[in-house]
Amino acid sequence: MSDYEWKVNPLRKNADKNNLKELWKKAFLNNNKQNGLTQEQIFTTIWSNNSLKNDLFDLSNYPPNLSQSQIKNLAENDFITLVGNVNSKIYNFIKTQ
Amino acid sequence: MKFIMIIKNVEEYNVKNESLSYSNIKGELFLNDKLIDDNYQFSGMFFENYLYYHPKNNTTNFVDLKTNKKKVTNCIFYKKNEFEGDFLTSKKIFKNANNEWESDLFLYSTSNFSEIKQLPNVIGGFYRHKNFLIQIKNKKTISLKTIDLPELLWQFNLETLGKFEDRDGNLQNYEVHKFIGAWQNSILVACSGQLVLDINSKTGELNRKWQALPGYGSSAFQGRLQHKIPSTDGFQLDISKSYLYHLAGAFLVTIDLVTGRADYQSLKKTLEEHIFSGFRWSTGYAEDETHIYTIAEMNRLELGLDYIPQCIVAFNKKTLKIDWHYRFEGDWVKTDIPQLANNKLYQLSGDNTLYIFEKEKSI
Repeated sequence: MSDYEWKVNPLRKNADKNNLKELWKKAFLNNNKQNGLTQEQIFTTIWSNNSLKNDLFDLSNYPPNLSQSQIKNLAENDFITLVGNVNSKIYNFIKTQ
Repeated sequence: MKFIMIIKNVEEYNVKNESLSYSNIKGELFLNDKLIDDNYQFSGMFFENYLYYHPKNNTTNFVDLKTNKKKVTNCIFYKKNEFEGDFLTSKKIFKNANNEWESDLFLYSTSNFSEIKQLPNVIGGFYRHKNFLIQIKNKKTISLKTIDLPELLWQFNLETLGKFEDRDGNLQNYEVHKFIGAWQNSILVACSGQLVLDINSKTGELNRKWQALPGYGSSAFQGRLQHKIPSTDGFQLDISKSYLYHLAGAFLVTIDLVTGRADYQSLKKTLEEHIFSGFRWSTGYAEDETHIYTIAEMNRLELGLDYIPQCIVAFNKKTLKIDWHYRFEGDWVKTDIPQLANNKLYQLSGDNTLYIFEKEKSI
């Protein structure tokens, strides 16, 4: 995640970091395709990127006897937990000037 | 080393002796070019005389390498969970009080793949070390336990090491990158902050640590990464198991486990002889008694190209020279590490082509 940065124009209204995190949280949890990428699509994109996958999900912590679909299910569950907490590392890419 | 053949549309592959299993993007799994399954989920791995894989219904199928007969079992098997001839598996997954995933633990027989007993233990991820389980939690604690007792034998917390300054000058906690391996009574762990730990497997005490390497590294980022060993996820335990090595850029960095000495050598001369700019950063290498096999990148400026050609190379461990290379024309390599089996070298490319080479007497 440390390779990603999203900087907001400081002149923008409500450019406060916490406000931005709440907006991103809403985007991460989106379930309406018409509003953009859905939560499932975002997770699938992250899951297909090995670097992001290993950074966000501590796969070595997962029980050892899981099939690939079980691992993905656990990670998807963890993704929702991460997104639910605006202090989690998934929001580290948000930078305010 | 001579080029033998390519196989196209390979997604994943595994090799053992003369056997090659590979899967393609259509979801088909092959063993030595014979279609084994068209509904697999986890690509085939080898275990003793079997190829095993996971179909999409959370079971494990074993294919006898000699007869191609298939045996279906109702549990998830991984070779890494083999334990003194039997193996560990689980039935239920749940979250513990700390919101971490854990599972129950069962001992199954590898002879008939039936349940032997349930163990009085629950566990998250682990690495096996002799008769013990090494657990790395939240990238910051390393602990050891037996399969029969829920209590930990010892725990090492990386927070006791303090903090390190990252490339931007921020203080960071050390985190475990990977478990490198075991050497004598040592557990070798690669950490962030350019740190390798040697932890006593009997007591959990820190035997040694390596971080400083005077003279090594660039002065970029105000020299914050300089005079230290390189990023540790590229270290591998040599097959003689007496030293760790890291081959990237224009340097070979070694940590002698017997003497404890960390050292580096410039490989600029041999790289220049072959118009290479350096070895690609990698998290592992193929290796035999004489050579390390990895990817090197060519000097595009010298070649007058607008892209960087990549090659698989055989790096001689004794002479520190590149004895052989093969250039991937019109193709490239992502992060896939070469594999070596029975004198054959395999490399999967970014275009999903599996290149196969054979080692000759004079390489």
